[in-house]
Amino acid sequence: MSYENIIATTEKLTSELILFDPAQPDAIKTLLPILKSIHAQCKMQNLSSEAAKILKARHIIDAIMKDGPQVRSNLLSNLDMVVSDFSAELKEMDQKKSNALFVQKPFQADGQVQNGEDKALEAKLNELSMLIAGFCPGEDPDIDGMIRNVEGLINISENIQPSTFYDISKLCKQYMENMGRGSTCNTRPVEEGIVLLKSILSHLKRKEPFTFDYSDVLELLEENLAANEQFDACSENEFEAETEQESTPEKLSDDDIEILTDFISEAEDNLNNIEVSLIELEQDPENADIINDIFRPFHTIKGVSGFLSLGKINRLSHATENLLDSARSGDFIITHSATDAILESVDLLKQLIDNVKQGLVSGYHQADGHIDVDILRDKLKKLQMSLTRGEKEPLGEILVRKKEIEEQDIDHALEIQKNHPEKKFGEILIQDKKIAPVQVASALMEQSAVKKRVDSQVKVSTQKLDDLVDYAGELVIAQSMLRQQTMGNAALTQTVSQLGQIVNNMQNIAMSMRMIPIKATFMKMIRIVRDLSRKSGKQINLSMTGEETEIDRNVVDALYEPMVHMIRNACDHGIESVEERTEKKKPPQGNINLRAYHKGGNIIIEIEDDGKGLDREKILKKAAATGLITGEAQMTDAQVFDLILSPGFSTANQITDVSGRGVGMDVVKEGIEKLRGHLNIESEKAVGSRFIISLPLTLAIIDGMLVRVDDEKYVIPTIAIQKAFRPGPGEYFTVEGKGEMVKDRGHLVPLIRLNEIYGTSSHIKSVEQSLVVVVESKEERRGFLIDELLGKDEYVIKNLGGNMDDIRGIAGGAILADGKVGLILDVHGIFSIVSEK
Amino acid sequence: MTDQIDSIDKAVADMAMKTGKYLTFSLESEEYGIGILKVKEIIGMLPITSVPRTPEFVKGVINLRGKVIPVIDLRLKFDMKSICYNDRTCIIVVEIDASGSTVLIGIVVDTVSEVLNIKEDDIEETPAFGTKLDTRYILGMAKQEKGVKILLNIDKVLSSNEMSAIQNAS
Repeated sequence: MSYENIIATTEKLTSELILFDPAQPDAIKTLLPILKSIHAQCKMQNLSSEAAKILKARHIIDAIMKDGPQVRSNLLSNLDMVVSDFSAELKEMDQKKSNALFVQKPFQADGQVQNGEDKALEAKLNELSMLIAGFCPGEDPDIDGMIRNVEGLINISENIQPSTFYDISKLCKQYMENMGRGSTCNTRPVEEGIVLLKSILSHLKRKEPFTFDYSDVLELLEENLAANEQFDACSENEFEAETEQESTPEKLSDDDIEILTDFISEAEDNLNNIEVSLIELEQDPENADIINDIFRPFHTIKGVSGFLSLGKINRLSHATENLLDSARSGDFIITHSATDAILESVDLLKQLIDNVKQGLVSGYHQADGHIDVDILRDKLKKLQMSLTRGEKEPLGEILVRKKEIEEQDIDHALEIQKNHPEKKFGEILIQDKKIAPVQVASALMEQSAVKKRVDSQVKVSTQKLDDLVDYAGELVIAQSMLRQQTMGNAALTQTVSQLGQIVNNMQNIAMSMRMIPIKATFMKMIRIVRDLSRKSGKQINLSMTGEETEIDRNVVDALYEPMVHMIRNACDHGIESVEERTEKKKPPQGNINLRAYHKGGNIIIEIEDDGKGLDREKILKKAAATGLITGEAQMTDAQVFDLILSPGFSTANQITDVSGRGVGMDVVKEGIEKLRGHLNIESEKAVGSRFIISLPLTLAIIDGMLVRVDDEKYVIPTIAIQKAFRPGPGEYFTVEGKGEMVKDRGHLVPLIRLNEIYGTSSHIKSVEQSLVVVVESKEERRGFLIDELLGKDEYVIKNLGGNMDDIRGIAGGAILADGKVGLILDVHGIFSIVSEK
Repeated sequence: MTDQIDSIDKAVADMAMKTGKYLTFSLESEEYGIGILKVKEIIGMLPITSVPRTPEFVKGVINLRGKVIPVIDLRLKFDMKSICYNDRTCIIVVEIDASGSTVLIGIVVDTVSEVLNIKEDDIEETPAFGTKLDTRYILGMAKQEKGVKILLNIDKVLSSNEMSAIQNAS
């Protein structure tokens, strides 16, 4: 966005304003989006004072919308003035820019010719009032500019008699200097002072004596000087009260809702990014790129929230931004306490934004009085100060390493720095002619890693994406129907197969659009581990591999909760305390390893810890006690570990606030199975455990084998199939009380007759004349007795509609090549049906 | 007082709801009606894939232009004896509200008759007995020249409770 852009938008604003009909006050709302865009552009160009001005315009509009018609004309002319000033100024700046020497300058009012003292004073005063007007809480005021201005006033007015003008200007200056030092954001006294000065000036012009009583203004200015500290506090409170008043339920206009919605979604995105970056920053606290990545979103949130008069969000993000800014300019290195504070601020901002969101739903401004930001703000401020004094930027070390300077140069420079603490290390080196600025810059650059290349991206609603995937699936089906119908015709077949390729490509792309790297989810786990390890006093390190593995976005969302649960378990039950670990001669720091990779059309996610592992005996004892198992049934390790997935099962002796209430693993299992995935547990006592989640690549398509049972066709997921064979003589057994078995390469496999389970026919089929498909699910193997194998294909999974989603033994429906619906078997569901018999 | 007004309001609303167009169809010798706004389309018989482990009245699922929707045989649902489907047999695709969302369900009927404009005056309250149907399913009885038509509350007929019987039946 260029500078010209702002001008163009401003012109649009001006014309809108001219066209504005005072009889239709609501129409003024249309200006708001334009204002917002100008504001954003100004921010981007670093024209903060201009942006502030736009803010002022917005406040006027707000006032217009609130006030009655009689005040309106007044305010309107006010608005007109602000906007025309703004555009004039922009043009002036633009001209300067075209002269190739664009320097950002404080406002030059109307470019008046300053021939007399009066005129000069007037110009200065105008300028000053502009600055004050443009100043708003939360923004960095251009105090220097103001003070310079007042100094001009003082110089000119020195000779003017009576000296009232001079005196008041001096007081104003003092007050402003105070503003610069402290962070008083109350500009009212100065504003009053300027009004006073203006009226004195107009009297001077008319050569009349100024006879009004202005002691109250003087008092106001002086009082502030005397008790600045106190005033600081109470002005804040005043401000607080103000915002709270503003936020008492007030209907939101449609435009506001639109802008707010944009803001919320943007801010939520930003905050999530911040969280991820913060965690990266913790690993690499000096990386300026990452700090920038965190700084920028805070800056955006600050700017936009200021525009939308969301006072608390604005102030909190401002404080955080300040802290980051000092870190960015290298005043200190971000420490753990700093990241903690920033994370805290992220959480609080989320709360505040949630609050705004709730307000949006109800259509009213939501009061945010219950959320207190000031404690955190103070904390951030203090942290910033203490850190700035504390650690130092290791710029010198880099320079030495690069052999640009010698050790003693650093010592020397540090000596100087002691005497001139305001100077930066690099500055001193340059002044001493030890080094060229370029070298310092390059050393600073070295601290930042190579920028990641990012393709330009488009935001699309997930609904549209899902639809696209659905239709792509339909197309595949239609195409395969066409293929069957054109089998005989050679010329057609060729065209159809060409079409088939295009359709396949399209489907692949549609599918891949829904795929996102699992990294974001993994990153969230880092945060959890970090919080938990601090809380429990254990030392836990989380490492991960394969975080760039792509996975269906629906799966990612659904995977979050189960993963959080397992990570918590690993931290709480798995990893032992430091003492326990040293006793067992393990390294004091526990490790949790997150892994993601592809394996045979599935995505595998492993969560491995090197903690105490699952205790087989303990699980068996507990299971026997709760009646989950009876007797001494022979159980494999996997079967034993699966017991912890039963509802209400927990071997933890103690309930902590993190986990251990015995609800959970069953929910985890359910969640994963809903995604057509499986959870396997491997564990060795005292060595660690590994939870392996295997998930299908995508939820929408399944690779399946079409089989016929009597007149019905079913799809068996290929993943589950191990082999299919026709049992020879002597390979079929019946076991008393245990049902039927077939022999497969020396192993006995229990046989399931699908026609009985599904009730397609009741007669007992001869095993020798049927086929057996050996399927596996969760380390259990069974054989399905079917009539015929019809072929292998990809099927788009559809749910059966109505309330038929949860039928046991059926995972869904698929439209077959003949247009009929085929049912997809849920292998594990069938196993559980059989085992219940 | 307010209670009275409320109940009157409710009655008026009910009345307003009942007046309107109904699609009528026949099952055995009885005539039924469904509010026309519930009906999405009427299609001829399609190949039905039966779904195992569901109640008998759930005939299975069909492929409605790429969408899979369940099909229910109203004869079986109303405990009538089933007949072989012929070329007059139709599937009426209705849209029903199921816990907040709308789902499409097909119902198999013997024949579709006509669309009737039925006035509130012609609709009588559901009799408490005299029919083998569960009266909750019935919106009212419409008196017509040719006889009485039973107006169905199709949402209730195919309500989620009924449909979840699908799972329990197994």
